[in-house]
Amino acid sequence: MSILSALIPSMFHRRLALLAVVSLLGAVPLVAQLGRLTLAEGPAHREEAESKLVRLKWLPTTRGRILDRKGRVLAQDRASYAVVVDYRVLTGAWAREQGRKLARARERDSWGLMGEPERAALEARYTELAARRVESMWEELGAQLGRDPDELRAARDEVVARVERMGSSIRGARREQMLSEARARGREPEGRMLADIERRIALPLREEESAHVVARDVPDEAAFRLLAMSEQSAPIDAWRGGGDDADDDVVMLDRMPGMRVSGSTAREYPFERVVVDVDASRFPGPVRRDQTLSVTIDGPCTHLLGVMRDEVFAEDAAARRAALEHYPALRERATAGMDGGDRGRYFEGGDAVGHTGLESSLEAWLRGLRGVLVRQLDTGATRAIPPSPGMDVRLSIDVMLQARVHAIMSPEQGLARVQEWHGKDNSSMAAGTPLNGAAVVLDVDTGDVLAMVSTPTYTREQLRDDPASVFSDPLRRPDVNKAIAKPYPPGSIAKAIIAAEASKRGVLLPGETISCTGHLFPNQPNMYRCWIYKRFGVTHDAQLGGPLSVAQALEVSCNIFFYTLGRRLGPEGVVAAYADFAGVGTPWNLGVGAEFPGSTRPFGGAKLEIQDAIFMGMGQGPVAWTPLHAAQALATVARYGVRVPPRIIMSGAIGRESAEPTETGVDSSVAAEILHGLDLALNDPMGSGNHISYAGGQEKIINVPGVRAWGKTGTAEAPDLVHDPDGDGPAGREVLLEGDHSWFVVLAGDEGGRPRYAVSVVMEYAGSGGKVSGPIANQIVWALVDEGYLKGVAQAGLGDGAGRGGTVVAQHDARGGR
Amino acid sequence: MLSVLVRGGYSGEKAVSSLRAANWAWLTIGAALALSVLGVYAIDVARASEPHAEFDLAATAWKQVVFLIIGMLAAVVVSLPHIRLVGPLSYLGMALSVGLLVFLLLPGVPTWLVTPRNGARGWINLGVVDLQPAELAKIASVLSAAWYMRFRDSHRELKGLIVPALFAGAPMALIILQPDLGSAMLFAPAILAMLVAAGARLRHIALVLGVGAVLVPASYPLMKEHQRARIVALIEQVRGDRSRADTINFQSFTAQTIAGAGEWGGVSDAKSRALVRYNGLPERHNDMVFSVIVNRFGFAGGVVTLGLYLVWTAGALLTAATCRDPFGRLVCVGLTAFILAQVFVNVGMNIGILPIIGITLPYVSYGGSSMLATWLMAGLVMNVALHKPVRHRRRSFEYDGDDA
Repeated sequence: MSILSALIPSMFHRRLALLAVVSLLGAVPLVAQLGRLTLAEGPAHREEAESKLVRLKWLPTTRGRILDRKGRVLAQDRASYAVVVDYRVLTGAWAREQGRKLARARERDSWGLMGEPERAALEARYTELAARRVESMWEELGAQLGRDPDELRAARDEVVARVERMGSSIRGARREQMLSEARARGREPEGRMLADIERRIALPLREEESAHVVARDVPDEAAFRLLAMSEQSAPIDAWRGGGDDADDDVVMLDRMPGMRVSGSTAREYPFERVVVDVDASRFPGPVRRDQTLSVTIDGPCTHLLGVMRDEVFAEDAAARRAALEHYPALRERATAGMDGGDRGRYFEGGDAVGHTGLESSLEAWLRGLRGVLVRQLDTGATRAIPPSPGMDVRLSIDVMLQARVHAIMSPEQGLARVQEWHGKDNSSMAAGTPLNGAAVVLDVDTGDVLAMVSTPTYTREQLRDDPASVFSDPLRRPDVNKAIAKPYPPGSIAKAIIAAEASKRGVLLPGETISCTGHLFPNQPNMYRCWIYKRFGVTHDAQLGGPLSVAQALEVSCNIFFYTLGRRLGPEGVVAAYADFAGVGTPWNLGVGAEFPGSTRPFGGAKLEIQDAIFMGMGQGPVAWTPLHAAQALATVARYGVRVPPRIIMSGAIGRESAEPTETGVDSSVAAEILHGLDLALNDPMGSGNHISYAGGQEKIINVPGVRAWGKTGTAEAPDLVHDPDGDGPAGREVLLEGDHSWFVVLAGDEGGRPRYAVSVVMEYAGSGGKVSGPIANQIVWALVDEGYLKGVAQAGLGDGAGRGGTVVAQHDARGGR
Repeated sequence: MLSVLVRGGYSGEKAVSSLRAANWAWLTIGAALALSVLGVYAIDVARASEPHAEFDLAATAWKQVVFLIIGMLAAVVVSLPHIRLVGPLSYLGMALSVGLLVFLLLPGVPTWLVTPRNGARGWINLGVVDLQPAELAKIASVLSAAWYMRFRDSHRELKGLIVPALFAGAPMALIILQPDLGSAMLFAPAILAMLVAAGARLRHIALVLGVGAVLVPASYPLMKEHQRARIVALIEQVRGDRSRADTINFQSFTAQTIAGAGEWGGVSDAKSRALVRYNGLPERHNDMVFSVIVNRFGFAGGVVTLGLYLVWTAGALLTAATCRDPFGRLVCVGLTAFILAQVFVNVGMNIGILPIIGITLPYVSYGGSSMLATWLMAGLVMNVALHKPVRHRRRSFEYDGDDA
């Protein structure tokens, strides 16, 4: 102090100095913060500020088409309009907000002098006026759209209810998460912290701030009228409290509050309903009719194409980012001319997204890129990028063949019903009971899936109007694509690939024969028995007069032969057989939805033992696959051991090309021997898949003139189908179905040629493979002739090849979103 | 007559030669003029989206030029009469100001005369311009407190602080009732600075500040909902929580964006106009004009602007230091504190470290009352600098013992 006093003798001057120093110190934090804003954060702020100088106007685009292998359109966009309304208007929040705003603005002069009740009353009056405007909007919308306003109000209530449900579940989850995070940091949330958490979770969700569709498929004229109205405003019925100057300017409110016309498109599926002709004169005797049936198939491709939805989830944006990252060609296309901006980005409110099936897995390719008008506000310069439609994707599926297979497998035609000739194997179902199953038709050379059918299927309409009929049917499971997503024990149809693997590994020598002894182990006559021994007490050795060659074993489906191979291969060998030839264990990534990759693991994860391997040698035990695996197994044998991965997406999805063919390393003479066995199985009178018998006759199972067939039956022991609604184990469980699954696989080619197509059929709990699935497979071979894939003897008047007798009707189930 | 006015009634010298033409107050006047011109330009940038186009928007800037001229004329008028003649009018001015502030609050006053703005009854409609009595009350408060303390030493006692505090407290209370908490707050630093300058014990001042530091947060529960919301919003904003960037914090975040976009040296004239307009900064010609200046001239421009206020302060404090008249000394200190407090609060709210309250930036923000009041302040500083003391006075505000 004394030094200061000496320096500045006057106290007043010392005090002035103090004030000056305080002033300078006061400026320091200001300069520091100014430096932070302009120097440290400056570039970011500049970028944000400049972003406001650009206005983007998005132009609508269309989604790519999905075509079948012959170019027929399975899915396409049709331009249409939808009316969307802001969520705040739907809930009434907008009216309350306007009420508050109007009350303040209109009574600006006296607002400060009013008491709370007076203000509240004013706000209520103005809120009422705004709400009346919203009500008149619903009336106007109804009139313009020619719909009942109450129908629109119902749509509104549905949106609000859905968003509220979503909100409460999301908020509940967020609250739990934040509370547990707080606890994880070692603090019990209370007081301020709790209030802070509540405030954060109360922040509006995107759905609560965006617009929602209240009417779709709006005709063009109505859309244009509404478009004009959406720009208009109209005076509210003025009501003023304590008004001294009545000439106050009129207060205007939007004529259609929060309403916009969204130029959307509707997805339409021209083959949603197909009528095909089925010649019933080719059916097995008991159900043969001398007539051509017109069969209507609804939703033949729903399992494959999937459905759309209108709502955008956060996951969609993430998936799109990942796709663009993974496929540079897609990214380049989507961001061309946009400085890295994605023209395919998702928009809230009325944006269509693929939800399931190919619509979902091909979303990144099918999704159209919007056009954009970029306007620089300060210079007025504009630049336009025209919209680019999404990419067209072509499938390997032949939709007419697909429809035909559906028709064959629809219970109404008789083949997919329990019939007398099916025999007594099937005791759990009465005659006439409809059977469910799946079938796959594979092009042997290319791996193209020509048809993939799972019965029953469902339609988009059904999904929209009665989702329970799709998702809550434990017996029929329409929601599951049984051809690729449901596990089945392979049964005897696996025997061909076991033989191939055994030869490859040298545990089955060329020309080697194996005796059928009735049961595998001499001292255990009740275990590992041959089916012929079990049923008739004899052995194949006795039947055929000696030990069996591999061809003979396949012909008669001898269990002992394949038990023996299973034992020789051991666990590792049998697993390799299923993996190498059928692709068991690796997903196909076909893009049509959930896949069961097949399994060769004991239930519960135990280690495979030699007993398991013995069973797996004949397709039982801890092994499960799907009809696609069955068809692929046979096709691999038909290709002399070359694996070609099956595909459904044929072209158009750039970057998603399928893998190259690979060798399994099977000797071609072995493959020929196995094919010979499969030939005998169908074409030799002793073959297990040669004929069916019924009262009054017998006939060959595969009987298409001009077609050469190789094949195998399978009757696979299956676990009971149980329904366990409460999921708590044995108590309250109900056995819905029991018995064996019926398998039939067939390779078909032209007379004198090689196998061209692999067909697999499984009918659930239907019993004998030859008797139930065999005739169905036969009709599928007929369908291959009808659709021109096999020549047959078309000239004989049985069919004239491509396109015979198929028509498409009722194409327009086009409620895009479903 | 004029001569008598200027010389304060003492004969002997001519009116003009009695003045000290070379004085420190020219710093204050120069800074005020520079800031005013900067303000006119900034207002034009804020209001006209394109240079030399849209004439009607630039009209705001032209009006500001008129206010500037009126303000400077008023400054000349108050700078001339001798301080001895100004002083006795202090209490009258105070009475008048308080009267006007009371008038604003009277229940029967018609709304055409007192029109609430943003809910505050702070303006009297005079037809051509609106008068904000709070601006005049600032000056009256400084003058009357200075007049009261000029010969006393009672403020060396703790209880002696009470009467000077009333000169600030009375207008403060009336302004809080308008309600305009922001303007009212500015009175506190002014009276505190005057007390410090007048030799009040620093431990008393510290005590007052300490009590204030406790009482202000304690007043949070008594605040109105919108005031609390502002404070909560400020805390979020300082934490970087952008959740309300589109609602309550929109103005603040936009101001920060606009200011930050200036980076080191600012953007071009045309670019600045576009950025300010299309970012939709509210009150950009008014309370938020500092952000516009920083946008246009960058960090450098912001620092220069702050520097001009420090020049203003230097001029006023040096005038006080060289003045021998106790009344003149305190007037300079009080006015400086008003200006600086207003600058700090306004700049603070522009760059996001203080809540948005309706405080203008002196000389720069658009507005007649503000321009008039701040130029009157500059004029009074010049008045103190121009006039020699009328007679040899004893040394004022010098006390024995330590400063504390």
